[in-house]
Amino acid sequence: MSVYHDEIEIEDFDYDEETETYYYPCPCGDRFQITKEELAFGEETATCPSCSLIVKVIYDPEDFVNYEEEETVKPCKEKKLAIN
Amino acid sequence: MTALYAWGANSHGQLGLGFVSEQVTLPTRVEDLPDNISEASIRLAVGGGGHTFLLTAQGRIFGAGWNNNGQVGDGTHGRSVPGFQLIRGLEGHHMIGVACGWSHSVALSRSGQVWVWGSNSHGQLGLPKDEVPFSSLPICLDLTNVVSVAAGLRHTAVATRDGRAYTWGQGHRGQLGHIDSEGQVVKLQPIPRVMDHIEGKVLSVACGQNTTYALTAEGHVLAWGDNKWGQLAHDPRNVAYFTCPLTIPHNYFGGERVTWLRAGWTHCVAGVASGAVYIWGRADYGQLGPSEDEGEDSGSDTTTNEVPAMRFRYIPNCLNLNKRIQVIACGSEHNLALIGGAGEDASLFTWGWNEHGNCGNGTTVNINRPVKVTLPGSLRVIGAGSGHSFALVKLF
Repeated sequence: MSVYHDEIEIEDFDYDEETETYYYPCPCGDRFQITKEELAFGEETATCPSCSLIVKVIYDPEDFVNYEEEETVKPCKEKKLAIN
Repeated sequence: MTALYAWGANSHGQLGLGFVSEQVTLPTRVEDLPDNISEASIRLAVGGGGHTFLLTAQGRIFGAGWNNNGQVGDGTHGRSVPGFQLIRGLEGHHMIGVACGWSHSVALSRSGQVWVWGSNSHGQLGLPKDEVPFSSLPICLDLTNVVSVAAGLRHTAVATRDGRAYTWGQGHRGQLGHIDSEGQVVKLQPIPRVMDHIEGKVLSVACGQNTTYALTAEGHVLAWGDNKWGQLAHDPRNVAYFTCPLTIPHNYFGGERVTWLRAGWTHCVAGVASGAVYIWGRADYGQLGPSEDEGEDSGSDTTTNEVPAMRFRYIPNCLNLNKRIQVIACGSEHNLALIGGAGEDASLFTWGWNEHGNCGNGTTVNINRPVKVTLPGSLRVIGAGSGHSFALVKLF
């Protein structure tokens, strides 16, 4: 189904820091989800792993642009540590 | 002999069948019930996002399903509970009501006390969320003389014997009906707060996803909160949401007294004194059934596949199933109706969203025109969670 089930503001999603993923209840009992990384890439569709419904995430891409930069820096640091 | 049947979404074991699966598309008997539950004594089946409760005539509550926030109430949290268990912490109390939010639970005792458990991520337990992020056991709230409990996605509402309504939890769409001292909508209300400005004596409450309804002693319906799909029976093109109770115009219900109310996530159903039933709100999965103007002679002899013409219908429409509708149970986007007399001929009709077999007709195609679901006996009790359904049947 290509029609959005709903449009949900990012503030309405629950954020899980461990998986860096935003979650919102799906009527099927599972949860719509979208990662911080996907938001940084401009993705605006959150999907449910259990059904065909999708929601449009309402957010300001500006809030997530820094995330990409952080991400590219982080792995380098980790690599260095691993070598040392 | 009485038997419990379950179908629909089962990704958290919410059907109580003892296993987890994506879906069950036909009514399937719940075989393994605990020894201390007699099927004939089940009075209510109700579900949340992924959990379910059965309430018995003896006042006991049994839970199953998703338990990531302790919402089943068996004292654990984390793993799903795929078979019904007596919930803990209510020993000695006779329970008469239970309701489910997305991942929280609220129960009512005969003595008028209220217990809450499960997720408190949005203050939906009515307790400070930094002190109680969730609870896997029922906690008794500081409320008395409560006669009705209801839960939305992340909010809770109760009515008291003296006709007042209390709400708490998430309020961003006006579903709590509270405004702060500066006139702004209260977005989070962490402890129960009485509703101001309610006209009339509230008998009972019902909750949609982000909407709240109250039925008054005069038989009027008050509604507040989200109106994205016309859930408040006002045109959503004019009103996106409303923070104070709106009285739904009496003439929408043929001028009759409303006697019961049920709410799905974004649609609502009201039964009136004469036995007529009205339905309004979101329509795009077939939730509302056919409207009067696209009635029996719509030129199609298939019973399931007409695509609803509109995404919502904000004016309540009289639901015609050709027989007396005793009661309706609403899932998130589907419905069950108990049809016919109190005798042996009571039967089940279902319609609406059906992707997980929610409607129990063996398919996963949405149903716009209510269909009869064959059961091996006479229907006694119907119940629904978000995407799952229950029927208690007296076997032939």
